[in-house]
Amino acid sequence: MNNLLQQIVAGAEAGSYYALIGLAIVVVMKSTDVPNFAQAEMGLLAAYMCWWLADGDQVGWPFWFAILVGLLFAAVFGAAVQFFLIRPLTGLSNKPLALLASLSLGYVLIDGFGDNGLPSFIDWIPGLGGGYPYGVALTLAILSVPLTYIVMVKWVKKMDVIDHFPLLLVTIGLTFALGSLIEIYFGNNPQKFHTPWSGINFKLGDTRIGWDQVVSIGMGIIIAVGLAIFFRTKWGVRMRAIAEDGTTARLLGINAGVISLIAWAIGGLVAGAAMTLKAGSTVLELGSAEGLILKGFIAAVLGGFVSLPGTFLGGMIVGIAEAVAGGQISTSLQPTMALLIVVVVLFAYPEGLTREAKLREV
Amino acid sequence: MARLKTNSSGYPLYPPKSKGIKGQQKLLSTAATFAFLALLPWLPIFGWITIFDTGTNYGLGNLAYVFAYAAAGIGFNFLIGYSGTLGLAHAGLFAIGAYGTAILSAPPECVEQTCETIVRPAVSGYGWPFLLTIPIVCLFAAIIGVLVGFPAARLKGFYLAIATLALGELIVKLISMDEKLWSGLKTNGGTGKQVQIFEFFGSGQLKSAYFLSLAALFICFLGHVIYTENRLGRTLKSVRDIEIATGPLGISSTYYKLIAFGLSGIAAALAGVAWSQNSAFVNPSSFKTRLLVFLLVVLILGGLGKLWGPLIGAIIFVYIRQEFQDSQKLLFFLIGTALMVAILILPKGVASLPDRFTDSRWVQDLKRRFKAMKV
Repeated sequence: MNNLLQQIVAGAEAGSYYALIGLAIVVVMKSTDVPNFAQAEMGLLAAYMCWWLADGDQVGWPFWFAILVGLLFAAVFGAAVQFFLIRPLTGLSNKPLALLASLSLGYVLIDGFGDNGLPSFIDWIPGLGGGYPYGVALTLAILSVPLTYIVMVKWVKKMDVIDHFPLLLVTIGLTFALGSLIEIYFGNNPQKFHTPWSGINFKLGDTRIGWDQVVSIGMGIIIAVGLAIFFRTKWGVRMRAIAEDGTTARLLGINAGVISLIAWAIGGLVAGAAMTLKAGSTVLELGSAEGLILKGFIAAVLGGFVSLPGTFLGGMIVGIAEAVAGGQISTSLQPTMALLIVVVVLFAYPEGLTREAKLREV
Repeated sequence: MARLKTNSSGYPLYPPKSKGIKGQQKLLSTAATFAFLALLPWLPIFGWITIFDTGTNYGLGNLAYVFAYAAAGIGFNFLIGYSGTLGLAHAGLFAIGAYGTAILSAPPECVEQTCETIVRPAVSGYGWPFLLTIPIVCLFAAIIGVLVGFPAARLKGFYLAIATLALGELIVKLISMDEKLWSGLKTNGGTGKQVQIFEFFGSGQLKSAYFLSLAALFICFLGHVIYTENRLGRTLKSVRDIEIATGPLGISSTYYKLIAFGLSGIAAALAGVAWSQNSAFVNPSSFKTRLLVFLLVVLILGGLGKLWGPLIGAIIFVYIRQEFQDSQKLLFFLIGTALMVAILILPKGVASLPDRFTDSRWVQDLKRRFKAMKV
């Protein structure tokens, strides 16, 4: 049954991506209580960034430097999403969001509409055939930017959060917007991301194992352990305190805004690492985030949304079970395996597989 | 948002329907709207909006899509807007409706020389009359909806969302599975299935699809009006708002949530039937998470828990979709942004704008002055 070992290794590789996305989701959930559906898409953006910087036909920086910059971008982008989009919904200042939204509206009005002809969706307005002159576009922008700013500042308020639902929806919207932004800027062709270890194999007995698989699994374990250590440090403990009881933690002098920023940066970093590893091992394509996010959530469910080791194990279990079921029983079982696992687990152990998870009421 | 009336201890009150013509407002407005929509194919008044111009096939088809999405949105509204339960298996239930009639009403397989017309396995089915298959499919979808809803007894909020999302995916995955495993189902695997077109008295495919979608929307609308005006609707609202208090009153919240799941399943299946008649082809990839997001956009953009919300949302959604059909990337960017902006600025949807206006301090002030003037 050498075939079996091969399948287990392939499953563990897929499992480490699931686990990393799951870990990113759990870190964000633990500190800000936001179920981030856009986590994989944010990671994909970072992976595209890494590829774009490292690829010889694009920017062509040295590999390690490109990876470093790409992952830094992932962290900054994660923090930016929190700063602009999530903060207003959790009751903090909405002015950054209002500023960003109104300025980008102004940019679209001037750059998209001015002199380039009208967008087709308003061409039925009589008397406007043929497009704006630049001056009209500028006037429109000058009028609409402050108006948007005022409306946003007045209307964007803290949500009366019903079961995380609005937050989930905002991140779903972000997923779609990010996906098409990636398509607009990087094209929709699948890309090959060359890494120093891609295409090199070694033999273990009769089984051929690729170094990219080893790197993916190894990095998965390293990041999981690193996160576990981080949550024992001062900042990690503060993060957990904010998640458990935000008001009390704030009364004790913990800066919730900074903590959330850090958590989102870590989440973005981990997701970016996962997607970059996946891109290096298989192929860089637009659709890869869509399949991964559900598996990441399943891994997080298996960990009860709080336990880091539980999440890591959950991701591994899902990955290996998929690969083995696909190889040993029937290939048509592979896509349904993860879904079956999560349904069974949610029925049998709604609070997750590990004991730590009982801290949270489900 | 209309302010919820509360009693002295802050719990919401759900007053019974008022007497006379005022209590029938919803029913009357529904009747007027549907009379208008039924006459619309002969009133080419939207000629200046090409997308909804009923003089053309294109406009008729788009309006039929609007009605189908709105019907599904109303079903979703039963569940999320009224019982406050996050069941996200709607894409799967929609697929059951679409595939169910496609399979049951298609003619049986016949590839021998003796047949009148040759029917290949890819388009074959059971040959039942189309109108008979609709209630069967709806019943089946209701049962599946209730089964999907069972986690609601144990899970809450976002955990339930994940479980039902997985179950909805599972339904679509099972439909697209190997022929070998599901030979009796005739779903034709992942390649999709041609739909047998049903025509009302030879009125042509598009007009039939239009009226079928309109009928589906009408049934959902009527169901919605009846459902929200009586005891069941008030009970579900109380389950949503004060679940903890319903237990001591002898109301089983699980039971009512399951009812909501079943009703939303019926609405989703009806919408799926109408949708499949309009698109004439069903494919598993049309029912993936993307469809669920479309339905969420329809519901959230329109207005959660509002009668007219899903219809408004569907009109906006189909308008955007058709306007940007040439560039998919821009379309998804706009849909994602619309969802974000809707949550940020109008969390209760476009249908809440009138309420928001009448509740604004400015209008309240005007009203007060007006009253003072009269006295």
